[in-house]
Amino acid sequence: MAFIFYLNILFKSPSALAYANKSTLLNPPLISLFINHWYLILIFFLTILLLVLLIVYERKKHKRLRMVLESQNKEIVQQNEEIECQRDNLTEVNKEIYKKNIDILAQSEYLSKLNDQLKRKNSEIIGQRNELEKLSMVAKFTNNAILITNGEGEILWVNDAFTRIYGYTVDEFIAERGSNLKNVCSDFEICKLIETCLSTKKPITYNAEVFCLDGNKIWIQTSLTPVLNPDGSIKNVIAIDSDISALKDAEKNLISLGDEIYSQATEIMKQRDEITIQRDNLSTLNTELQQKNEEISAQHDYLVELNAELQQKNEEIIAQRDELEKTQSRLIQSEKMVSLGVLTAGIAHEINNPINFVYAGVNSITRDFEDLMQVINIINSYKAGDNAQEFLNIIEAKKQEYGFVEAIEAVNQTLKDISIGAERTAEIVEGLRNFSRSEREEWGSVNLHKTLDGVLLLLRNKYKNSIEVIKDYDPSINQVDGKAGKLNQAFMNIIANAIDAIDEKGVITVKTKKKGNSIIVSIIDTGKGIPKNVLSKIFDPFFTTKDIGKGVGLGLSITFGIIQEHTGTIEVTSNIGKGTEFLITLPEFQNLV
Amino acid sequence: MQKYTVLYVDDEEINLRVFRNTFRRDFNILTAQSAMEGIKLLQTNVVNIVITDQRMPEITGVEFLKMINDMFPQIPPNRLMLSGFSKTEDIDKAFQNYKLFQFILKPWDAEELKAIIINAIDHGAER
Repeated sequence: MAFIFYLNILFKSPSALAYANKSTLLNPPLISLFINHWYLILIFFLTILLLVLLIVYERKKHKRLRMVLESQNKEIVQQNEEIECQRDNLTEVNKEIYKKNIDILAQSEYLSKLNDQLKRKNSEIIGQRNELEKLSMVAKFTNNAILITNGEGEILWVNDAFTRIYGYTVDEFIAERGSNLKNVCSDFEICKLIETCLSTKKPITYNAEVFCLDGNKIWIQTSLTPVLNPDGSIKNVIAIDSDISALKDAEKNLISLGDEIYSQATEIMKQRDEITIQRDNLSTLNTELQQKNEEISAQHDYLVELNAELQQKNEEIIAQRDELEKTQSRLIQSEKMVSLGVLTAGIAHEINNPINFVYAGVNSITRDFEDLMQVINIINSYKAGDNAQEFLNIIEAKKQEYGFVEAIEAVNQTLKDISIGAERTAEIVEGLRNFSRSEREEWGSVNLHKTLDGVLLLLRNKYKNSIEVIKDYDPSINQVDGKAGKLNQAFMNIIANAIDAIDEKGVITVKTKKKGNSIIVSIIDTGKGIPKNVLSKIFDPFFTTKDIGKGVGLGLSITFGIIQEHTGTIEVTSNIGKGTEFLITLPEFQNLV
Repeated sequence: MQKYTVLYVDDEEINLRVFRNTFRRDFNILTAQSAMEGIKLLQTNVVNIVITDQRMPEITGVEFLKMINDMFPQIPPNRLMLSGFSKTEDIDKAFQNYKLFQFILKPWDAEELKAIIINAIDHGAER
């Protein structure tokens, strides 16, 4: 039942399975299932039966078939053995055939070699034939007479050139000279040579003079070459004659020339030997020199090129520099002239006053002296025995008359005034001299305070009416290394500007101070001050706030240059309406090399 | 013979002294170191001639001459100017307007100047 149940599960719907899960095998729905499908179960059993029958049949069939195959196999094995037997026989036959084959190959190789030999022989023969053709051509066309004899020297053959040279045909020749080479020559020495050739069997060459058919004599060069048999005996002799008459003539000329040349040559040789030695020395020297020369030449070319370039540039630069120098000196000069122009009026006034002290003073003293002389003359006229009291009265009267006391006083005073005048004049001249020193002045020791005083003196006339100058000098300052004229100019520019900055009344303070190795010069004015936008430009060349003609704007730029040249610094501070201070710092000692 | 009275104004004391020493025998000499001092002297003295420097602090020679012209019309019209430097436009004006008689350059020569002074005084007296 369980089996059918499971079959049902296999064939039936899931609902049957669902029931099975409830473990109620005999429940009414399952029974009804079996009853409803009995035919299916019948079909199933019938099918199984059929399959078993089929299998039994197939197995019997196979057994029969295998027996047939086994008998067939035995036959095949038998046949196979037979075939093997035949194969062994065939192998034997094959071996024999192989051996025969090798024999045939050997024969074939031999034949091939033979063929090659034949081919070689053939090409040799062809070569020999070509050679013969060439030789024949040579014999026919050469300008040399060729003669062939046998071993005894009997003439066998001559070429065409023979007839061309000697004029004889071979028959004519033999008829006249005989048939043997040994006898054809009239010259005994030559005949001997020919015999030697035949006996020694070695080639010889000789020159000889021989007669032609027309009776002319010609020079020939003959080469005799014996051709030997294998046994060493002479087979043939080949004679080749060349016409060397032209050569002989030339030779004669050459010989005579040669003799001359020889004597000269020996002389020359001697000289040459000497020269050779010298030349060898010179040659090595020359090679060295040449090498150096080439190097130098190359360098020279390069230098010449470079030089030309440099020269051109140099000229340009010099021209530019000259132009600049001219411009610069013109500008500096013009600025100086402007400063000088401003000064001149004052200086003239300033210098004419002290000169006046001297000039008028001398006049004054002269007059006083005249008056004094009146009294002195009286005094000098006193003689011994004169009444002293009376004389004193006269002198007193004269003193009154000529204002003696007044005159003495005036003379004293005037002498002092003259002295002052002379001193002041000298000071002004000194100041001017500093100002006008040359551009290329030397470094030296400069008395700073004197310089400042000199500048103030020169400018006195510009400021004396309205400006008070306060000098605050540091007494520990003595000398400063520098260029007097230039420092003078620098201070002049700054102080002149300070004076110009003061419109009506004001004060200029010139202060000096020593700080370590530095000297500080401060020039302070109570003028109108410099606006900020102008302050940055005051040292620029050509910057000026003055009217045209009063300055080209180089003053402070020159001053700046001068202070720089002295490795100093210059600073400016300014307040509008209050004044300006120029602070100049200079090293006390210059590092002059 | 009565001496002429000369007023000489110059800011340089030495100029004044030398002038006085030179001409003390010839003239009655008054000196002043500034225009204002000169004005004061003119107020208290009779003066025959005024000699002045041009370039002086505060009041220049030309300005001084103008002041005299305005303040003392009775003084004879002869003035001399002594200066260290050449004439200027101001000075030219002084000739026309302020009775300037002659312009003299320093340094001066005693004899020449004496002659000029006398000539100037005489010239003024003729007017």
